[in-house]
Amino acid sequence: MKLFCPSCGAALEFRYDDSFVRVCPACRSAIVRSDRGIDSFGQFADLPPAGSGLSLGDSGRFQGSSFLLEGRASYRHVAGGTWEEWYLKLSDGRWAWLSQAAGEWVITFPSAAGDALPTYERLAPGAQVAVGGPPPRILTVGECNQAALIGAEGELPFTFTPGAQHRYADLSDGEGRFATLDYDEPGHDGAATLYLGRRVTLSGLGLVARVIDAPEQPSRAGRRLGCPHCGGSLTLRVPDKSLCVTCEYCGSLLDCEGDLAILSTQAERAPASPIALGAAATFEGTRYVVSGRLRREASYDEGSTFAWDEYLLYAPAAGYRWLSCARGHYTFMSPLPAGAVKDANANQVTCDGTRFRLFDRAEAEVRGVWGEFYWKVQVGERVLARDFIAPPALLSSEQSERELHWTLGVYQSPAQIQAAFDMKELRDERSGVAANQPCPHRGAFGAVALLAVAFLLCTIIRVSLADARQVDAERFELDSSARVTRTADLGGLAAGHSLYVFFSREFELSGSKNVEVGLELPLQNSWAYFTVDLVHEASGELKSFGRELSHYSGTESGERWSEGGTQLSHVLGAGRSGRHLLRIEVQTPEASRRALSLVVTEDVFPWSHFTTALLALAIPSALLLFYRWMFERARWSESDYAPAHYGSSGGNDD
Amino acid sequence: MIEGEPAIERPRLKLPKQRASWLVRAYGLFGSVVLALYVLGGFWGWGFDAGEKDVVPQSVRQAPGGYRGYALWHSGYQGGK
Repeated sequence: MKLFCPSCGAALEFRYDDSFVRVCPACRSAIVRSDRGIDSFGQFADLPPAGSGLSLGDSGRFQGSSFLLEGRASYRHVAGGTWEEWYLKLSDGRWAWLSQAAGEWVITFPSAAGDALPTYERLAPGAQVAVGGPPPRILTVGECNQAALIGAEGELPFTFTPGAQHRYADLSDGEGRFATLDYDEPGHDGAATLYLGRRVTLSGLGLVARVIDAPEQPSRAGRRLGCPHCGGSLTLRVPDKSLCVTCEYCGSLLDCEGDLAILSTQAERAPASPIALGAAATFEGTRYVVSGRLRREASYDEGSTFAWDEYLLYAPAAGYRWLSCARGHYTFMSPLPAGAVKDANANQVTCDGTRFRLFDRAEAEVRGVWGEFYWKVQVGERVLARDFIAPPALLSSEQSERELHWTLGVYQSPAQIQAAFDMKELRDERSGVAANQPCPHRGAFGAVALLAVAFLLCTIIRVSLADARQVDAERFELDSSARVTRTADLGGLAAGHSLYVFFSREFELSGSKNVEVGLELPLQNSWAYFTVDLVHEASGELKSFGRELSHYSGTESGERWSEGGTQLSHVLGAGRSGRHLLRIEVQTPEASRRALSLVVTEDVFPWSHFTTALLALAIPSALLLFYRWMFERARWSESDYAPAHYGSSGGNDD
Repeated sequence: MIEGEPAIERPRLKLPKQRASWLVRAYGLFGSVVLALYVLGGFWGWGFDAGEKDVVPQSVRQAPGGYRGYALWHSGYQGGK
């Protein structure tokens, strides 16, 4: 449909039936068409070239359909900053928005709202909303805020008032789904309009990303400016994204949008740090530049505070990352979509199948700003900060009234930081145990558990394989026939003690198994001392052992007591194979006639081995686990949410 | 819902693989040696006795008191109550 601009008379064309607005390329007037004809309802300022490098008419493919970029809308966030949204028409007849959200691209399609969507007033960051379907998907609100459409070009699918604020909410999950709820589209009476889609890359859509995905040398891309407060020379390292910058000479915080207006002045110089603004670092294979540094401080109910530094890193291909430094401990942090984190309960969340435990919850305040940032940060800015840990990982959330941001971090050792920044030297200034510092002797639990299981298995196998073959069982009488009476043979035997000697029958031993000698003598308030020799018949070689057997019992104050027993057993190691016999020598003060029972068993389970191995494993295991416990106790002493087994919580003093 | 399209990869929890510390490795080595001795000792019938103590003459049965057990070399067992 061809027509002429009512403002300047330039020729216009509406290429699609579902486009309602066309921005006149000659005079920037927004021309709306309706049943009553065409009308102009305002004029836009000139749009600068898109920061992404995209332009009207660019083409790409999505889900097998080709598309063209037919229109562009530029929005200004209520807190400052702008972003672009592209109206694209697909060859299958659908239309969609291609927009940037939190530094990433998303494609969203107008969708049926389905069941009633919540009103804007009922939304809050972190709230979960069921959208789309069937089946509906649960998405999490990351931001509910306001923005104004401040510029446009090409065709757009709805009417609007230039500069008017409209309310929206961004939702996401952890699997790339994304939704926007728009609340102030004309004709909807404040009801939500749902746009549903997913995160994409420009290259994945077949769009050439001339700036965003292009390698960039931040130092060379810098833009030189003069500080309006002191006249000092400033260099923007991320000129397309930074919304504010501090003057390195006077500390003034300046607005990068427009003419470098002074947002605030701060006298405080940046504390000394081994990481300088503008330094380059490589994390996870991506090279970043340090564009800003924040000093933040958490306050606790008891009046204590805890301060740390956060360095803002930027890479054109990856966007923004954070490197936090608290008491010399570093953590590299990446932003997460709000829906990637699932709340299990107030003290636990899960992300990528890993459970994180609440470590800290406090109001964090910005106390110092140096460098440049992608939002208009101010000293005194406050958020509710929560840290959840699964060392060496850290999940951190920052929540304000309108926004919820999650970041996922991994602990970095001083050696890793030194390598990342290609430093010649980095002094290890760590103190205490960091929230997500991995235990130096990680794997201790696993090693102990592995050895315990192996020990148990070996024991079960050994018990099941023990043959316990009885090779001899006899009874002997302690009477005069076995009693040694020749004085010369009695040596220094005490007066009143008797000495008996017995020989067992011969029995065959395999020579590769242990041998258990079991003796039973019914003693009552008496003792006997056994000297047992296992004699190899052929060679006369013997193995000996001596053991006391005693049994006492009685009644004292009306209660029966007893100690000792009437049985003993002793295991001898394997010896020679062949025929053996036992010589049993019994020394006892017992004068009455008694029966001595003997049982010889080959290949029994060696309990002495079991207890020795158990002790040998248990002692170092206990020491290792104790070290681990001490380390965790030191970690949790800094938290108000320590598990009970790590003792009471400590302070949070800086 | 726009299903089926590969989303760009968001940051995932990818923990660096780290070798166990020297202490844990030493502990593992020690434990393995203990287990090996435990298994082999059971299999081969090892005992804690010192092995051969003595050699007795073939005539030991003919003179029961002629060969003296260890406890009788001196003054006999002095224990008991």
